[in-house]
Amino acid sequence: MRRLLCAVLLVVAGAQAQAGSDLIFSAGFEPISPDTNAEAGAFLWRATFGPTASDINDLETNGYEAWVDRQMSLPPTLHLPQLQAFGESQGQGERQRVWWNTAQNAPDQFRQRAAFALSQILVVSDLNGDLEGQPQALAAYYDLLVTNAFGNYRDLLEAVTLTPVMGHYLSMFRSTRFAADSIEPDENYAREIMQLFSIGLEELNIDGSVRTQGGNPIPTYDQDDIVGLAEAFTGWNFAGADQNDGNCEWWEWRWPEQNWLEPMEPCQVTDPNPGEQPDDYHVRTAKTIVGGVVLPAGQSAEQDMQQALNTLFNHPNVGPFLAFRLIQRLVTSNPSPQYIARVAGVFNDNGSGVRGDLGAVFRAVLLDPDALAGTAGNATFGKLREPMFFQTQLNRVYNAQISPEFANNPDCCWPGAIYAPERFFGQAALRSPSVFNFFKPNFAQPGPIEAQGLVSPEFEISTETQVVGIANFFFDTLTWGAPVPWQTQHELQIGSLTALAGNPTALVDRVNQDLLYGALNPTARQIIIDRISDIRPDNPDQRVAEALYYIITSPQSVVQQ
Amino acid sequence: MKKKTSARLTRRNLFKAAGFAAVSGSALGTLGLLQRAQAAATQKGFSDYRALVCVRLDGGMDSYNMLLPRLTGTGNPATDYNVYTETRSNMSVGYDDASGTFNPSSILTLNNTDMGFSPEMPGVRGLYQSGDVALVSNVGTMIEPVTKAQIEAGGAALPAQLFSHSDQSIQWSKAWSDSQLNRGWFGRVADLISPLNTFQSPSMNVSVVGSNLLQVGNLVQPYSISTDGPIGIQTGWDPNGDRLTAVESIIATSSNLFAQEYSRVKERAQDNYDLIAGALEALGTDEELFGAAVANSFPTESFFFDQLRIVARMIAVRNSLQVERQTFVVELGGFDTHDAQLANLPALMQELDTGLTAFNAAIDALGVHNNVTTFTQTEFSRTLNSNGNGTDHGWGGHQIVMGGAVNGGQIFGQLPDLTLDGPEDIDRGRIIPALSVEQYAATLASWFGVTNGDMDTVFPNLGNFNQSNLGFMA
Repeated sequence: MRRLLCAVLLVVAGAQAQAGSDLIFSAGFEPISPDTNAEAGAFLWRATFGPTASDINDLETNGYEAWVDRQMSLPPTLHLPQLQAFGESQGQGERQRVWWNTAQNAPDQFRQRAAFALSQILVVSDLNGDLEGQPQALAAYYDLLVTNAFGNYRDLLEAVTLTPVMGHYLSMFRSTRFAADSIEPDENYAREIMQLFSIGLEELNIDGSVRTQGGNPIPTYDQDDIVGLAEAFTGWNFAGADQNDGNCEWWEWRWPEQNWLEPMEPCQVTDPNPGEQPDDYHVRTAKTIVGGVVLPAGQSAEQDMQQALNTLFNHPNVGPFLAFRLIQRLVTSNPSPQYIARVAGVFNDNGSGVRGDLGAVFRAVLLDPDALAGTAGNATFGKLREPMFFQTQLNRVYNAQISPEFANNPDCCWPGAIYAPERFFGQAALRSPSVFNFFKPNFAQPGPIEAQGLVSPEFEISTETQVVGIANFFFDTLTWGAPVPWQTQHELQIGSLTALAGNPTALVDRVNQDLLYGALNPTARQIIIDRISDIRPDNPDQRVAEALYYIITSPQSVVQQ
Repeated sequence: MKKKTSARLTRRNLFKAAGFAAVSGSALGTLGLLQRAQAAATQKGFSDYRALVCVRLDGGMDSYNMLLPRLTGTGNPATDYNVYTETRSNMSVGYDDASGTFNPSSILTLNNTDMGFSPEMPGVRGLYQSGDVALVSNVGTMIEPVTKAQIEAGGAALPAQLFSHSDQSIQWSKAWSDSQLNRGWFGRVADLISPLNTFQSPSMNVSVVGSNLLQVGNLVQPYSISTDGPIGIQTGWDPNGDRLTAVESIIATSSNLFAQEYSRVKERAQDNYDLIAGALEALGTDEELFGAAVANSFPTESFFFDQLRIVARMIAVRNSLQVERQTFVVELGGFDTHDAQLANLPALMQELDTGLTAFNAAIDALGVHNNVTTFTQTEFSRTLNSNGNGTDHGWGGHQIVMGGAVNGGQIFGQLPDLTLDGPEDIDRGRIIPALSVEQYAATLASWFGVTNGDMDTVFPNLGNFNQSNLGFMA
C-alpha cells in the first residue's frame, strides 16, 4: 500500500486535470501490484466472479496493469453457442445455466464481469411475455454485451437498439404512425434510451453532480423531445420483413417472418396508399430531439436512427452517467466526484481522441487511484456484494461440478438456483423485474447509510426476507450433507477442506484465506473456531459445511471493499 | 444489538427442531402473547384496529379501460361511448379487430351512472353495487391545481419528470410531489401514529413487495415479509441454539457501515420472526381461518393472490401483536402496456378483480369488514390514444377504494372529457388530474387516525387544493 499511496498523492498534486488512469503509472513507478492477498482479493472481487488462488498469484506476480491488459486481450466467451449445444432442450433455464458455467469457467473473467454490469444498465428481461420463449435471442443479446464490452459505446448502443430483443422489450419494434386512427409512435424506447441507457433525466457535470438553475436540476429533455425521438425510431421490423421488392406491403409489415437473431431492418413503403395504411411506416416529417437537434424531413429510418444515436452518444451527460453506474457495479456505491470525473474523462477521450471506448473506461474504473486505495482513502468505500456473487465465488474457488445426478437428467433440476437464480438470489442474468434493473443507482437504505448522504443500490433488494433467505439458502445447500446440491446443482470440490476438519483452527483459517483472504474479523474467527470445535470430530463434513456457511455469510463477506 | 435470552432461543429451537411445527407455533405465539398481555395494561392510543392496504399497480394502469362510458349520444364527452372510441380507436373496450366495429354491450353497468365497468371486473363491480367499493376519478400528481391554458402558457407549477415511471412512482408514494425528502406518506403517517400503538415492534408498516418508498418514515421503516410470512434464520437441528448463537455473534462483528446495516436487517428479521411466526402458524390453514369457500377463492399460482393472502393472515394476528394501526403494500405488475394491451390488460384486470374480491371476502371472514381499507395506486394512467398496439405514459387516472368503511357505490370527483385535444388533454390524451394524490391520501389518512391538525404536516401541499377530504370514507 505504501507505494500506492505515494502514487495517489502524485496524481492529486500534479495531474488532476488530465484524463486517464494511466497517469498513476506514468511517473517512473514500477507497475503496481498488490502487497497482500487481501489487496489482491479486493481487486479481483471487482474484476471477476470470484478469484481463485491462481488468479491471486497471477495478479501478485504480474501487477494490476498487466493483469488487466491480458484479460482484455482474451477472446470473448460467447453464450449462444453454449446454449445451442444443449440441442433440443434450450429454455431460459438452460440460458441461466450457461451463464453460471461461463461465470465460473470462462478465462475472460473481466470481460464477462463487464458484460454483466452492462446487462444491468442496458436492461432486457426474459420475464417479458414476448421474450420468455426466445432463449437464443436473449443469449445473442448477452453476447452483444460480451463482444462489445471493450468496444465502443456508440456501436453497442446501435446494436442494442436494433436487436429484436430490445425492439420487443421496449416496443420500438413495428412502431409507426397511422394518423387516420390517431395512432401515434410508441414512446417507450425513446424515453428509456434517454433516461436509462445514455443521458439520464438531469444535466450533469463531468463529476456526476447535477447541474442546477435557480436551485433546481435542469432536465435533459422534455416530453416534446421524447415524441420527436419516438418519431425517429419508427418503421423497424424483423430483418427480411420486406421480402423482395423494397416496398413494404401491409401484410409484410403486419405478419413478418420472425427473425430473432438478426438486427431489425426498416420496412419501407415506396407505394403509399393513404387511408389504408400509414403512408410510410417511418415518419418522414422533421423531428426535434434532445438539445434542439433537428432531424430533417424526408430522412430514412436508418438516417434518423443514426443521427439520433449520434446526438445521444455525443451528449456531455453520457460520460458521467455511465461512469457512475459502471463504478457502482464494479467497485463502490459512492465514488468520489473526482473518480467519476476521471472515468468520464476517459469516456470522452481515451487518450487517442476516441470517445466512447468502453475498454478504456472499464480499465479506468479498475485502475483508478481511488479504487486501488480502497478504504485506505475513505472508510465508506466499497459496496454490498451482489447476491449471485457469493455462489459464483464458491463455484470458482471450489471448482464446482455440475452434479452427475443432475447433469444428465434435464427433468430433475427445476427449480434449482442454476436454472432459476432469482428465486434464491433476487437476481438472474437478463431477468430483471423491470427495465429499472434489480436495484436503482440512487437507492439509499433508510437509516445510517441515508443519513450519511450515501447510496446503496444493492440494499434495495436486501430486505429482511432476502437477507435471511440467502443465509438460509447457504445453510441448506452447504450443510445438508457435504453438500447436497439439490438447490444449486453445483457440487463443490472440498476434499482439501475435509482433510483439515480434524483441526478447527486450520480449517477456519483455510476457508478464511480461500474466501476472504484472511479478512475475517478476529472475534468472528474465534467464534467460528469454537463452534466448529463443538462439532464431533467424527463428523468432518459438518465441520467443513458450517465453516463455509459462517464465513460466506459473515459481515466481512457481504461487503466488497 | 438487542440481546436475546438464551432461554428464548432454546425454547424456539427445541420446538422447531423437534418437528412440532404447529405446536411450536402456538407455544411461541403464547410466549409473545404473554409478554404483550402484561404490557397491554398500559394505555392505548386506539380502541379499535385499522389497516390501510395499498395495492400498487406497477407500470401505469390504463384505468380509462376500467371505468368506461357505455352509452352513446349522452351529449357529454366524459360519458359518451362514441367520444371514447373516437379517441381510443383500436384500444377501445368493445373494439372488434376483424370488422373494425365498436360495441359497448360487454361493458358492465354501474348503478345510477352513465358509466360502466370493465367486463373483466365483475367482482369489484359487484362490491361497488353493494356499497363496499368507491371509485375516485382522475387522481394524479400535482403541486397545485393547473389548467391546460396555464400549462400551454408555460410557468405552471408542475411535478418534475411527468410521465417517467420512476419519478411518478416516487411522487405518488410521497404524496408531496416537490419534496426532496425520501419519505413516503405511509411513513410520515406512521411517524405520527406508531407511538400510539401499544407496541412499536414489529414495524406497523409491513411490506410484501420488498423495499418501497411509500412506507419509509423518519422513524418508522417498512418491515418485509415473504408471501409465507416472516422468515427467520434457519439452523436445522439446533437443540441448544448453538448455531443460532454463533450466527448472531458473528453478525455482531460488523465494523463497516454497510455490513452493520446488513446485520441490522438480519437481526430485525429474526426479532420479528420471533414475534410473528408462531402466531401465524397458530392460525392453522387458510380453510380453518377463512372457511373453505373463501380460502378456495384465492387461486393458487399467483404472486398477487399470495401477497393478499399473507396480508389477511397478518391482519388475523392483530390481537397478538397489539399493533392497532398497520399499513400493508402489495403489488400487481405488468401494467406498462406499450405493447399488446388488448391481450394483456384484460388478463391483469381479471387478476386484480379476483384478488380484490377474494381479499374482501377474507377480511369479512375475519370480522374486520369496517377496519380494513384497501386502495389502488399506480404511477400514472395512460395516453388515451393508441400507439398501434398499446398506449404510452399518461397522467391522471381512476382509483379503486374498497372496504366496509368506504362510502361505496359512488364515483368521487369529476370525470374527464375524453375528447382528444379536449380541455383536460395536454397531448395524446394525457389527462390533467382533477384531484391530487394528496387529497386522495389525506382522505384515507383521516380515516386512519391522522387528525385535521396534523394534516398539513403530513401533506404540506394539501392546502393548495380546495378540498382536503374527498368524502369517500365514512
